[in-house]
Amino acid sequence: MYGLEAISAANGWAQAATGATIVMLGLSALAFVISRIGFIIDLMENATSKKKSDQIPAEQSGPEKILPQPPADPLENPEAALEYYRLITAELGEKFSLIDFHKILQQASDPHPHLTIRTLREKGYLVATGDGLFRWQIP
Amino acid sequence: MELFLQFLHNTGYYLADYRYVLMIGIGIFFVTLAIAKNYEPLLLLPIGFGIIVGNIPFFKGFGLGIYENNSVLHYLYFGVRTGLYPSIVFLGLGAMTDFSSLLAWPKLMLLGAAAQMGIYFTLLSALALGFLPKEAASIAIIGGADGPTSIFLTAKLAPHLIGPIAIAAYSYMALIPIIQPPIIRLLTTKKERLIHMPEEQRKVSRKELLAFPVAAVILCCFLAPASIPLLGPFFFGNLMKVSGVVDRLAKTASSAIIDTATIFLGFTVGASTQADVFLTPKSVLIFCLGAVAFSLATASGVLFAKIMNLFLKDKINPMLGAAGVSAVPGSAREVHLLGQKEDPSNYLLMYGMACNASGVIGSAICAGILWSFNVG
Repeated sequence: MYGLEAISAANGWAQAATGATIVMLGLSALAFVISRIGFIIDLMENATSKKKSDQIPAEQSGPEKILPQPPADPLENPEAALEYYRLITAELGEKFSLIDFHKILQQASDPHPHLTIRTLREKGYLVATGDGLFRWQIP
Repeated sequence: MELFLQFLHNTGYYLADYRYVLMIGIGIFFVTLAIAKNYEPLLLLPIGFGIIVGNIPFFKGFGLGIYENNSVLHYLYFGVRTGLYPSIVFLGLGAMTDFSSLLAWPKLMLLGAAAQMGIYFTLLSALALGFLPKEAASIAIIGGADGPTSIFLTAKLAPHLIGPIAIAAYSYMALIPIIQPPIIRLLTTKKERLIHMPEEQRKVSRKELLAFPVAAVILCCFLAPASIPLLGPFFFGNLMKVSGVVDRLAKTASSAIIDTATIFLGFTVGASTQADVFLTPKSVLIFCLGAVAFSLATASGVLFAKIMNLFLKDKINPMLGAAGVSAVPGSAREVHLLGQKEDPSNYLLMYGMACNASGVIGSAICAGILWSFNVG
């Protein structure tokens, strides 16, 4: 059996329509849930911290972690900025992923994280170790 | 002399015919693509060499071939026939996947769902061409562009088609740089391709990363329980990675375990393409339908992104729809390179990876759905 007749005989139209609808609805529901996860966690944390602050006197917070000062224009002079980048990635260890480096650059308010990474790669300061990770190459 | 002649009659040189030579040629082509062109070498190299090994003619009955009981290849092939290797690959994939971009941009998940529409169009096409429902479902899943998922579903529904379907799925994954760009260019305008995604991304907390695999496995597997063998290990692998308390296990899953499974999966799938079993008109049709499935999946992702843009205030680059197929990370990389070609300051890789991750989940759900439709 071929053609439309074969599709109807195998209940193909219903399979395709139902399958497409289920996967769309399923992933939409998942998208909705993950868009709310942060909100729910924040809500729970706020409730917990409020409860704690009602019970215990506020503890003195520890000294804030101070990041080294970024160079004035790292893209113009990446050689001079290399020490700064090494310092801010020290906690990642000798080898690190570009995703982690990107996150740290964002935390350090780097205006162009992608461009910075690209420049460092092109200049040969950031080299692949062959296992999906990268390390610094000091000239 | 008689003994010598008898020996000659048992050699591969004597038993070979044009079909074996053709398949060995295909194997060499795959190996060349992997080494010379660097096209998906992790897959094409083991598959290509497997094709060469599987197509060396031998005297039947010696327990040598992959389809002969008690042969070594037959035992290694067990992991393919039972769907074991795909589950292990998914465990490793989960341990390698970073969901932070997806969590920062949940709407990109819809592109992963839209790109699965190619599967259902192909299901209808395969049925119309006379394939049985279980065979049609196995062929359709090629549109998910996910090799392990294709092998898993085919092992469950149409084990006799594992060879051609796996080879088609992996071939099209390797050919992403050739297949996707023309479709993307055809369906998008230059202005659309120049759309920038925001460089600043919402910071995703560790708690969100921890909650996601648990929430996702419950939601997806309750919806399509047949996808448990794929999504269960996938989200477990991810939880190991983000928890930070079992670094050793996460590292092993994302390196030694997935590598071992990939080696055996690729090699045995390649070896399963024995010319006398593989070279049939059905295989040719499967290859054609696979191309249709992959192209339609790409097109449906791009078109859905364009539809989303009609309603969104912050437009998304519609090329990202093409990354909704689950070929990780090939399609995300291709979309990123296309974006860079249009505008070197346009960085789409992180967003492409988010769509890719969503595509992996989507295609596993589709496999579960198709399996449950055709079970029994």
